[in-house]
Amino acid sequence: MIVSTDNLEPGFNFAYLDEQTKRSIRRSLLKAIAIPGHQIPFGSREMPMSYGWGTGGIQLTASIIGKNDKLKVIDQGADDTTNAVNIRRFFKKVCGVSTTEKTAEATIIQTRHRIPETPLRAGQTMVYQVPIPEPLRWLEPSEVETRKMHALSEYGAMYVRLYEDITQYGYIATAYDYPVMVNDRYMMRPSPIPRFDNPKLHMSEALQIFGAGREKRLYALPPYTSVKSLDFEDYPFTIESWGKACEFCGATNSYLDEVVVDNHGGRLWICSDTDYCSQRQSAQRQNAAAVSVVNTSSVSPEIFKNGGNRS
Amino acid sequence: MVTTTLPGFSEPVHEAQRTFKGLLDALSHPGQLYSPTVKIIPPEGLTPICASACLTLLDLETIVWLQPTLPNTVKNWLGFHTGCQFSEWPQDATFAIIGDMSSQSSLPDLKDFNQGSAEDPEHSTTMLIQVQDFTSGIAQRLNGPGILESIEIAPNLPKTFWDQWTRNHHTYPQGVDCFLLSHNTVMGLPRTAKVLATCPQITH
Ligand SMILES: [Zn+2]
Repeated sequence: MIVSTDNLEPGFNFAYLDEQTKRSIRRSLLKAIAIPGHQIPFGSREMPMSYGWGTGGIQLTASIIGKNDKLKVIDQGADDTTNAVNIRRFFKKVCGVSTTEKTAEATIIQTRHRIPETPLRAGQTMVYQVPIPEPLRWLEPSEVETRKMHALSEYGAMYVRLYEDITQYGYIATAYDYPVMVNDRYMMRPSPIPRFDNPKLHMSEALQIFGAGREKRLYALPPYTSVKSLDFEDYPFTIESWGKACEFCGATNSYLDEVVVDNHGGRLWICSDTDYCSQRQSAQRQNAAAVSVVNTSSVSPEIFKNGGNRS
Repeated sequence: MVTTTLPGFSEPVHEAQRTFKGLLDALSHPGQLYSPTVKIIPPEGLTPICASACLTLLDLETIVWLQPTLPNTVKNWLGFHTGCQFSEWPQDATFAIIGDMSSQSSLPDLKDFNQGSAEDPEHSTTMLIQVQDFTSGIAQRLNGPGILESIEIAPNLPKTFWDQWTRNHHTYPQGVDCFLLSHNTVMGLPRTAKVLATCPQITH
């Protein structure tokens, strides 16, 4: 069915936000791109969902999206969680845009917790839902002080904190939201992605924008921007590894989740990125079909994942 | 005023979105050219893409500095369509609109515009600079965020602009950002764009 995108959901402006709000966010976004990694206040609006549901990311997406965009939304690595489904439904309703689960097809990808395994390409925009934008928050609760620290590039305290991890545990224990230096100038919180995803921030072909709704802050990484995870000469930054392959697609280079598969405590390690995993599986099925050794007993990952524990 | 009867966007929501996407792409990829398609009849003194950028970015929250050589039609049209405020002081400007970069006597130095502060570098002026073309100026090689390795550009700008631009880059993270706008094409020049070298002049 063909629906005119101009007549969707009467009573709302296209993409829900009024034009005045979009303009204000757009101006802040342009400045954020000109000062990579620097947090900029924006006039965050009430959205028809509560904070914690990605209102910062939703407002950024609403400010950039056009009727020809194709939107993908992921929560953890999955497109089928309640949060992702609701956000996708919201934009379908207020913009009439088409949506996709395929990373390669999307023009805008809104995310919390993960960066897709499929490499992002030029022309795509990643929109991150950020709960806490300030990397120095746990070191210095006063915003007056953290603003000064950013202005002076005074980041020694963060290095001291990370080094304390090393003296205590023998390694840096921060697993998510691992701080980075952007363009050798600003320290930035990459949102709660696993450190596994940090290297994907560096010199990405895609534009990456970050929105914190409750704290009313946005920041950005233009494409091809240097993003270094903090480390030390004697303790270089490392990413997680599992020494396992995905049970479904055999990937050894993707972020794996441990998933409970039955009531008897059975567990599997599978890709957190469901699109990546199913793309690999269908490619493998095609290859298998080509040599006519089809295994009819293969089970789709969705069946397991819906019953699984995705903490 | 006759000029105010000139329409703005015919499809305000979608044309503002398309124009913004062009500006966003341009600033994210310094030195590359973007031409968002918008139907607009600009007032005398503004090119179509510059007029579109103004309708997309300006409103009552913004203060605009106009180059004194711009005709009054520009001020009337912007005031009518956007409700923006105007100031004669470059220091006040959220946006500055330049019609002719070669008219040096009517142009302050880039450093006279708002540079932002150490804590709020985003408060700096955004310059909307109209240029003849992107091919007949002094060729410059740039690098910085948004640029893979380096890019060569030659917008029609006087040498003094590039001297000021180098100083502007050195005050990072403070400093102004520019959009260069021809008839219907835009190039972004964020403060992070660094001039690596002035390339040997190509003989035409
Ligand atoms: Zn897999």
